[in-house]
Amino acid sequence: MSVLVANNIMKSYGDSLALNGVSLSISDNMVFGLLGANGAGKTTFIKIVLDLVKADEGTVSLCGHDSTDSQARLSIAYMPEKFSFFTYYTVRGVLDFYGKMRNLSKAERLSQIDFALKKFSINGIADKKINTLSKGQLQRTGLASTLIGDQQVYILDEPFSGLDPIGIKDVKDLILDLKASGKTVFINSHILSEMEKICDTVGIIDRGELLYNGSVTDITKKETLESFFYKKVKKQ
Amino acid sequence: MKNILLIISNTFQKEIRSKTLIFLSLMTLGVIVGLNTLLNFLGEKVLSDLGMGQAGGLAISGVTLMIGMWCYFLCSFLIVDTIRSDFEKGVTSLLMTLPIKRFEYLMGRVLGIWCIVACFYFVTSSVAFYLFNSTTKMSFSISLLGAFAINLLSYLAMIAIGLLISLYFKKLTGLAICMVCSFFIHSSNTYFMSKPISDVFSDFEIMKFIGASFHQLLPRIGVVSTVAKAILLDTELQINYLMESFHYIASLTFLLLIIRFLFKRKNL
Ligand SMILES: Nc1ncnc2c1ncn2[C@@H]1O[C@H](COP(=O)(O)OP(=O)(O)OP(=O)(O)O)[C@@H](O)[C@H]1O
Ligand SMILES: [Mg+2]
Repeated sequence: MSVLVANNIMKSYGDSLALNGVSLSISDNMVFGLLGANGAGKTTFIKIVLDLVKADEGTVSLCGHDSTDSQARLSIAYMPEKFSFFTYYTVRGVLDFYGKMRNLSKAERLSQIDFALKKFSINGIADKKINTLSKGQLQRTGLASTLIGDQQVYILDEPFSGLDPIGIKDVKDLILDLKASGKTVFINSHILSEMEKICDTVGIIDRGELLYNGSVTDITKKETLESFFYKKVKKQ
Repeated sequence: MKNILLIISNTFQKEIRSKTLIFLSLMTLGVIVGLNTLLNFLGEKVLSDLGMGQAGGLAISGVTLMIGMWCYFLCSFLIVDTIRSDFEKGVTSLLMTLPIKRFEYLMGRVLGIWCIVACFYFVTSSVAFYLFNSTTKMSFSISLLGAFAINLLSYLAMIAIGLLISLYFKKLTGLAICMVCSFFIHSSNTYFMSKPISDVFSDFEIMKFIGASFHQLLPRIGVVSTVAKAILLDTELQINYLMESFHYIASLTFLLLIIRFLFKRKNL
């Protein structure tokens, strides 16, 4: 079953074309990586999927709902490129807010917050205000927020950015755990070495066009993901 | 509904720290207490000797006017501030990926700000009323509560107008436009309240035409606050209450529907 189906997405900002007819389908219980250089259109694609940005053309269906339907977001967890929240909230407060929004009972919130804090080793700073956190701590808080509520699809925009090596390992382990428990994960990244290890399928996007969409093992049978990516993007 | 309540309480937590709100509250209370102390110090006898027997009455109408003006200012300031800072910090887009509808978020913000302004209004006017009670001999009455409730209606409309502006303008520009709009709506409401709308065509001027459009299309905050004043002072107004109530509800609904339509299509 396909969790996400994008059909011929076009988007321009003024004169510049950000996405040029991107079509993509991601099936259930997969780790999908969208790879591309800076400004390739990765974040724009995610924002269209989440209905934050309106496409000029094309449709997206998410878990069987049209992406403009608020029902589509019931089973989505999203971590933006740059996580930010109301500055006077504490880390625990942020997670609690997410829990309330996702309709969790008090007991569920307590146990899930506890789990998420431990998972990203931020239990020590749980009561610190958001505006006093370091970049990596903020990133970890954003990642922890995706674990509140039992979501089906995880959309992570540059989850590794700003993390130390231990943080990177934590995120990789988390993604594999999510996959093992039947979830679908969509990652935007340009850290090819890590993506090669965790993704089942990848899409390569360059200047708004999808150049490749297929399985990682097909690529790595012959070469590394890195050299494949360079060849695809350089040929353009 | 649960989501709206969550955003209302979030708005409360967010804006209750606003330095402008704290400053205005303290200043208003300061002015009220200061004026009252001065009046008490001078005493009734001295005042009437000075030919200022009306000073108490003047003070309370001055204070009421001041509180009313701050309330309009706060409505505009708080809604523009909260909506813009959500946009600028990227919180709006984050919230919109949670299971909440776009319009629910806006309604939560509007009602949250409305509660804050109502609190400000209630606390400052109660203090003023209590302190000036001895000078003005005004007793607590149902009309006081009536005026309070009616004024709240015009604040709600002002917040909705501020919301529309805040979708497109940055904080300072937005606030300035809100203040100009509020002034313009008040003046055109006062002008057209006593004149038939056909007056526009008697001698056509562009400003008059814009004023008439504002008067017809937007909630008539000027009329609402005049009604509140009339209730308080127990005077008669030559207006059609039924028509005005209908106009208020219809224009506010229309305004909110436009906001909903625009915000639904906005890129975050
Ligand atoms: N709000 C906007 N207004 C105008 N142009 C925009 C806007 N957002 C993105 N763009 C442009 O669209 C293109 C794609 O941007 P996007 O953020 O999707 O890239 P990306 O692949 O996520 O890059 P990165 O790896 O740097 O995050 C870029 O050329 C960018 O300049
Ligand atoms: Mg990006």
